[in-house]
This record gives sequence, C-alpha cells and structure tokens, in this order.
Amino acid sequence: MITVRQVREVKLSTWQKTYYPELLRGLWVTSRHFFQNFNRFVGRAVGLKVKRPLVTFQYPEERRPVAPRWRGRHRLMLRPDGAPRCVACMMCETACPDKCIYITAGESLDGRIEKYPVSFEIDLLRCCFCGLCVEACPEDAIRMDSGYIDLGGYTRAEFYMDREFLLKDSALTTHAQFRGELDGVVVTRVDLLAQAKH
Amino acid sequence: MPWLEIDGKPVEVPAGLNIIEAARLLNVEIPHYCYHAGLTVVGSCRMCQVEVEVGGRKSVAIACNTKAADGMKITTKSEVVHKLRRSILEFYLQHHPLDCPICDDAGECDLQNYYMEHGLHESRVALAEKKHKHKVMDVGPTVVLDSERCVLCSRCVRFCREIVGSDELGIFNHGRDNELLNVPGKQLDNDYAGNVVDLCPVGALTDKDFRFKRRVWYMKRTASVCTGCSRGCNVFVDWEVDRRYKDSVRRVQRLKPRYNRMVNEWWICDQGRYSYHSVDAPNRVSVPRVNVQGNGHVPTVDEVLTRAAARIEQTMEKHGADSIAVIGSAASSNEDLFLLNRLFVDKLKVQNVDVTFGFEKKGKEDEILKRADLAPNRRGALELKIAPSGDGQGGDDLISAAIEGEFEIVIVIRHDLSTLLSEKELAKLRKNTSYILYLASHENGLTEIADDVLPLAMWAEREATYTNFQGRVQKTNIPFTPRGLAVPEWELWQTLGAKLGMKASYESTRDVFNALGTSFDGFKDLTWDSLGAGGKMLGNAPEPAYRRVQTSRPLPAY
Repeated sequence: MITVRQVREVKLSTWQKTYYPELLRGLWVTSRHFFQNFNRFVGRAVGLKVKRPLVTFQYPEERRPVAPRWRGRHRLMLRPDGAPRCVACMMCETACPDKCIYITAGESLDGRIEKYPVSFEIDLLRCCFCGLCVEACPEDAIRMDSGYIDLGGYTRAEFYMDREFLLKDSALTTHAQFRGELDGVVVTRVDLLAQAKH
Repeated sequence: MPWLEIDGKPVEVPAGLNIIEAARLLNVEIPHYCYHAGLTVVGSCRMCQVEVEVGGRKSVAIACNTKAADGMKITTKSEVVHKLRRSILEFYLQHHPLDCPICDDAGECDLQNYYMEHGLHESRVALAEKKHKHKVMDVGPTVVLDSERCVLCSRCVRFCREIVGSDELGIFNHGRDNELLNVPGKQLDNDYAGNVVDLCPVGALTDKDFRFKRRVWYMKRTASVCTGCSRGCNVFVDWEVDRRYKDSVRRVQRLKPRYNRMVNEWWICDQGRYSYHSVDAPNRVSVPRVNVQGNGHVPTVDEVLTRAAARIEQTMEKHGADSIAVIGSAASSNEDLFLLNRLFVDKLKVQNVDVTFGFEKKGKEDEILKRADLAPNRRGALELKIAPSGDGQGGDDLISAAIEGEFEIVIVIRHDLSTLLSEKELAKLRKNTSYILYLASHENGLTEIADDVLPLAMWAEREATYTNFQGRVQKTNIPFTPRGLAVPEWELWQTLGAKLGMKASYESTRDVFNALGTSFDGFKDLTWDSLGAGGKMLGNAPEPAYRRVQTSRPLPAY
C-alpha cells in the first residue's frame, strides 16, 4: 500500500541564513575533536594516564579488526590428509562474474578423490570481491576470510595468485582476523574492547 | 496411419511408431534412460511411463514399448505420472554417489535433469549406508567406467551387441550388486567404443580423451562434417575459446555425432571422434614462410602470393604452361577445387593438374561406417573435373614425372610428400624443381624444403562443402577464426588469380558454392542454404536406399 508522508520544508532562521556564523560553528566542532584526540595521543605517548580511549588507529602499527563476514583476499583450504579440498569442479570459475579464476583439472591416481586442481589461479586485479566463488563452492575449499586488507604490489604479477600461494593461508583459523597478530605485532585488545563498549 | 491425442493435441503418426517417438513429433519429450531410437527396446528403466487411455479405460504404460494406436489418449504430464517418475528416480538415486562436482557428465546428465524436473526429494539413504561399487575403472583404451553412477539402462551393452557386434560389455550380478562390467576377457576396444559415452545417459561412462578437460556448459556447439574419410559423418564440434588456461591452444574440445539418417545415423567411429587433435596440434603452420636465408622477417600471405605469381609468370613465358604441375588434394573442399580449376585449368591452361588418390593413405574399411578412402572429397574432385584421369593415377604420374625433373614449378596442396616418398626421391624432386609452392596445414618434411609455404585453414576453422562417396554435398560451419594467418584454400587461389589476371571476386565460401552451379551440372540446383543440416545429393540424384548402420551380423538382440 502506498502511503504519502508530508515533509515540511525546513525553515532557516535569519541567523542561519547569514551563513558565516554557522560555517564557523561547524569548523569549531571539527577542530575541537581534532585537538582533543591529538592531546590524548600525545599525552599517552609521553606516559600520561588518559581516561578516554583513542578514536583513531595508529596504522600500520595498529590494525582495525575486520568482521568475520568481511571479504578479503582468497585462500584455499586443505583436507585433513593434506590434499587441497578443491576438486576442480569449476563452480567458482563458472560463478565468477569477472572471469578471474582459472582452474586446470587433473586426474589423481593415488586413491584420493579422482579430480584435483593441477593449477588454480586467481587474478586479483580482475576480482571484484563479490564472494560468489565462496557461495558456489560445494566443498568449502575457497574462502575469503584471510583477513588481508592491504593488497599492494609493484607489478601485475604480484596480483596473480597461484595454487601454492592460495594454499599458504589454509591453516588460519577463522577468528584470527588480525593480520597484525599473525605478523607478531600486538594489537591492544583492551583498547579495542573499550572502543566497542564506547 | 493412426490418429491419437497426446496431452490434448491430436496428431497423426506413421504406423508402428512408439509413443516416445510420436510425442517427439509434437515436441513433447518423455523422460527415459534405456530407450534409444537406434537400439532395441528393453523397457527396463520405467522412466517413460505415461497414462494411456484406450476405449475409455485408463492405464499406465511404458511409452517406449507401446506402439501408438488409433484413438489413444496419452497424458504425459499428470500427477500420477509425475509421482511414478519421482518414485523411480528415488530408486535410481538410492545408491548414487552424488559426485556431480567431479562428474564430467554434469550439465548434460539425464539423472540431474529429471531430478530437477521431478525429484527434488531429500535422500532417505544416509551417505554411509550407500552401496559402493567400482570407481574409475578402465573398461577399454578410451573409456572409463564409474559403476556407482550407472543406472543400468544397458544402452552401451546393446550398442556393442547390436551395432558393432562385438559384445564387450555386460550387466552382471543380482539385486543391489547388479553392475555393468566388461565381459570376462574382453576390453572395450572396438572402433566405435566412443559411442557408448554419448549413449550413456549419466556419467558412468566417460571419455578418457575429454575427461576433466572442460565443463560441458563452457562449450559452444557448431554443426560440422567429419573429414576423416569419404563417409562424411555429421558431427558437432564442441569448442571453447573464451577462457585462459595453461593449455589454451586447445580450441576444439571434442566431437560428438550428429544424427543423419542417410549417412551415419547416431554414430561416428573413434578415428573420426579423436581426429580433431590435429586442428590444435602444436605443429600447425600458422604463418607463411619463405625458405630463403633471410632476416627472419615473417612474410604476409600476400607477399608470398606476389612472389609465387611472379615466378609463375616468368616460367610460363620461358617454358610454357606445361612446365607447371599442380598436385591437388581430395581433402580440399568443393570451393577450393573449383577455384583451383578456374585458375590453373581455365585461366593458365595448365594441363598437369590432378588430384592424387594413389598416394592417399588407405584406411581400414568395415561395414559399419569406416571407409578405406580417407579423402573426404574424392567424389567432389571427380565432379569438378579436377581429376581428369578419373582414378587418380594421373596425380601419381605427375609426382613421378616431377621427381624426374619434367616441371619447373610444382605446386603441392596438403600432401605430405616427405612421408609418401623416400628420402632419395624427395631430394631428387627438390634438386630437379626450381620452385616448390606448398600449401600446408601442418609442419612436415616438405615444409622444410619447399620454397614457399602458405598456411591453410583446417576444416574445423572454416566454412566448406564436401561431397561424400554417395554424392551427398554436406557443409561445415565456422566455429572460430583460423589459427594465425591461415586462410581457406580458395581465398589463396582467388588472390593468386587476381595477380595473374583471373577475374574472381567471391566474398565468402557461400558465394563460391552458389557459383558452382553455373559451371558444373552436378551443383546446378544446389545453394548454400538449400543444403540444410543433412546435405543434398549431387545433381538432384535420388537418395540412396536407407541402410541401417550396423554390422551385417550383429549378435542376437534380447
């Protein structure tokens, strides 16, 4: 059913219509937050006890946590016996709207599942991080929960991930969402919790 | 001719037709596994059950083994039928491994299709309770069997028994141990073994050649004709060029037989089935070559043709037309031979133009499909008067004469003379001939020694018509562009002709084919469009008598 909501026009007062006072008021709000935060940071840096937590993260020393459903760089999973979970069914390749996944299937004769990926390549430069490959996978072989948010490189080749590269992160547990933690840089979790409560 | 009613639509069908075929006339597809129009009816799968009402009495019958009769009222889509099929499907899926992700047949599997149409039930059998059978079992050099996926329709068994007469597969054991296996001591190694893969409605029998290469939904399909022998079996070329792979050179993925009642029915031989490998072979000639010590410059086709035209003109002036020999090939299409004829016979008045058959490889002949004559267009060459001697001996004589040094220029099309002649003869030919122009599709000994080499587009890369041994003109269609700078043969003759004063300006293969009729009576009433999917007989000749494609002594049917 269609309902009609009447929106009243916002009437500005004469004071607001003069424009400049309002502009300055806005600047004041921004500056106040900047200097408060700046003073707190400097204070903490010199060892003063600052009650309220910091608003910003000191990237790259501190990393912002990502939600478990957040889609980052892909990783391939392994079976308990050490073989890739992927059976080269090409479902992800078929689902991929950017056509950035290239799988070559092969036949394994060692009594495991007969089809396996001889090569599994993802061209990250074409990827739009839609996550359809993860949705399509019937084997839970591909995931996008590696937590890598900073994807950078100097050549195009660095964005062309092959099977071994994708399998490298298979051991990550889902809750290890912090790149910093894995790199050995400690994120102040207390800060983060306080942040969440605040 | 009985009149009957299928799903409320009245239809008149030829007498003796079963209900599945009768429904097909109305484009109604009745699900089935075991029934195949080319094989005897066993009625074992029970999927094709429909409601049949005769004289007011309604009953359920299998559509494959019930002949359409006058006054029948058939319902293919009622609740009763749906329920029946659903229950039967559940039996088929009871012990099915559900390994669709790794099954090559996924996407063209009848079990999948019918499940989506009728089943959609939750499995009542726990995965751990499923009966396990043989997986990845070699039944022959070209075919792999996965017994767990098999629905025991026995199509493959009947094919080996009734069409090939070799009886290599059988169904053994009872109850849930019932399993398709090789007959003890036999391997599925007949010349038509690949057909069992096409026949298999599920993924139980898969082709080793195609296994895991591509998913079926990636491929596009083009109707074509096999050029492996003079039979000219109708085929589909399944190809895929969009995706980048490590083996990205492979464009044609597989060949599948295409139904043509008068030529090959539903079958093709294995030799033809796997003949496509040469299309994407690494030794394809993809660019023209001038075999002189040069700076590595790759010439264009036009440059080479200009060279050739100059050479031909010079030689004609000095030594006359008799110093040129053209050794044609019966693997060239009708259009190629037509322009070859126009250029060399009509325009340049070269006498020594012939197609050689004697040097063509001889194949194995059988009574099913295979023919000893491996040239796909021998009949066309005779019709287009390219083979004046008729038996092809002329071409052989030309080669012998060329070795003896009777010609200044020898133009060879397709023939790999390096395998047909001895090394000594080849060296002699090279020594005695001042200019050899070779039109080739693959690298071989002759491309090494020829003066100029031009790349030819192969049958799967171009439009062409071929005349098979019956005199049936059949066409191939273009799936993708030729490799590298390769061009269809007739285009080369047209360009060369333009440089030598021949007037021809055909834009496409269709134009050339449509022009054939003005010069040759056999092609008079034929146009590209009138050929249709199944081809037409030369000169409006009557169709040959229908012959069922099978050995003359198949093993007794069930």
